[in-house]
Amino acid sequence: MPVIDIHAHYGTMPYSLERQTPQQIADLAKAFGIERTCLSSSVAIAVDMVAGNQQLAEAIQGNAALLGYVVVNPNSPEESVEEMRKYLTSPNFVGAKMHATHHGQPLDSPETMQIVKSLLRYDKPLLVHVPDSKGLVELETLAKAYASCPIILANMGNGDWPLALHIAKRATNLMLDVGGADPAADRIKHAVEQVGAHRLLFGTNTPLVHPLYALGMVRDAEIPAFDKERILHRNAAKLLRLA
Amino acid sequence: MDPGMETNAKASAIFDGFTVFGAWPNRPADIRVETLTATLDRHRVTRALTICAEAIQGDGMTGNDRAMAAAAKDARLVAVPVLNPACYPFCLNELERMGQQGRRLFATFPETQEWEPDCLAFRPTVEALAALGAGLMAEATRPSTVAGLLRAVAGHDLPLILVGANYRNLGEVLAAATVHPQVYVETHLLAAVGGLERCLQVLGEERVLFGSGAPLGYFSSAFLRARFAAVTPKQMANVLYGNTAALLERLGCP
Repeated sequence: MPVIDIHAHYGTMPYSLERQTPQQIADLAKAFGIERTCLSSSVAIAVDMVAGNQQLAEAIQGNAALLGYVVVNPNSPEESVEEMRKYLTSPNFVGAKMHATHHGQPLDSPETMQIVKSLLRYDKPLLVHVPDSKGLVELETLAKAYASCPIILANMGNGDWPLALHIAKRATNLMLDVGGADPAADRIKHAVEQVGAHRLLFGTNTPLVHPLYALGMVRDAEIPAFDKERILHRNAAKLLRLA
Repeated sequence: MDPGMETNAKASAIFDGFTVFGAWPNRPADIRVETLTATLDRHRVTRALTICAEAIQGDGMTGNDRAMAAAAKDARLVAVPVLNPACYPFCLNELERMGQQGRRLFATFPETQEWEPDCLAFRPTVEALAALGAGLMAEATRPSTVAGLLRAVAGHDLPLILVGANYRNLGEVLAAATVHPQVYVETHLLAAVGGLERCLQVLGEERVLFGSGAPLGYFSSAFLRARFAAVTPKQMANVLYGNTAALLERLGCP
């Protein structure tokens, strides 16, 4: 079964880790059965949105294993709308990415709403990284305001995953990325029971999390094999319209 | 999933350097001792250091007795008593009690137990551990905890296992291990691409210990990451088994 990783990063990060080339990312993923990897630019998230998006577009060009998210930032809503216009008509870009830890804006701010409203025209999902429980509450407001926009919560909200599950029950356009650096052994099973496997997606958060670390979570999750297949492949293929 | 990812006991014996059983107050996870032993069965784990959660967040004496009882019932388990300097001076009594029962490896959880490694109560604990010839496993997921622990053990001949190294504190962990030859690194949160390999490069192959955090954490996350690390077979065998076994032997642990 070809695995789809809906959450990975390209570019330097301020940690004691080595930078990977696009081909190294694809090769590492392929070694463990991941055929498609959806990347956002770390530079666009943490430093320069426009330059980072451009670097990512060049990095994934011509590499069928790599897809992109265009990073958007509510501190620059007009520029974000322009960035989406530049990239989201390309089949190489599967959606938009917003990292609230870095941009610091409330997820229910008018600027955030403006960006998501513009995203609707592309019919592609928004991947959101939320810093804390306050951000999750804001995310619920955002998700309900744009119920036709699929929103993926990165890392299932990390340590706040129990709250994320409650919110996902109320905001039905919210999907959950089951990966990340928190290996809490009960969270995927609870997510399947409370939200349903059809709303769960496999993400690694590579390079901060090795693909095997994330795959190990799904491997050990006490859920039916069919649900694992949905999480690892089917749901993402349908959401992102990947063959 | 790739059949090559199946746990393979023939490839390497496994000594899990960090397991926790009991109950965890903010988690609905099933971490009973029976779940722990079933996890060891499923993944063919040869031996495991184990800690009772009650000793971390509740009564140390009761929790440590539970860990000892669990180890008495299952020969794979090696009980690691927990010390909580916030309970000074009772933690010294507990150290003495467990020392009399032959324990030479202890654990402490400054972040979960909410005390600072620079606190006054930790100093006599460190001195007593060193006098006993014991080693200490210490929770250290933040850079500041690593630095505080290093200050606290400076000048003592005390093996210190940092539990919970991760990409956020990896730089501090590597710096600590560089200046202090008695620092070991446990791997259950060492998830990043290249993180484990970097530790082996900097620390050498004898100071990295595989741990899973199971059953509180997914065993396969930590195991697959370690098992398929880009290292030599000898390094792999040391990380997965040899280093923890050698440390216990050196400490004279039963």
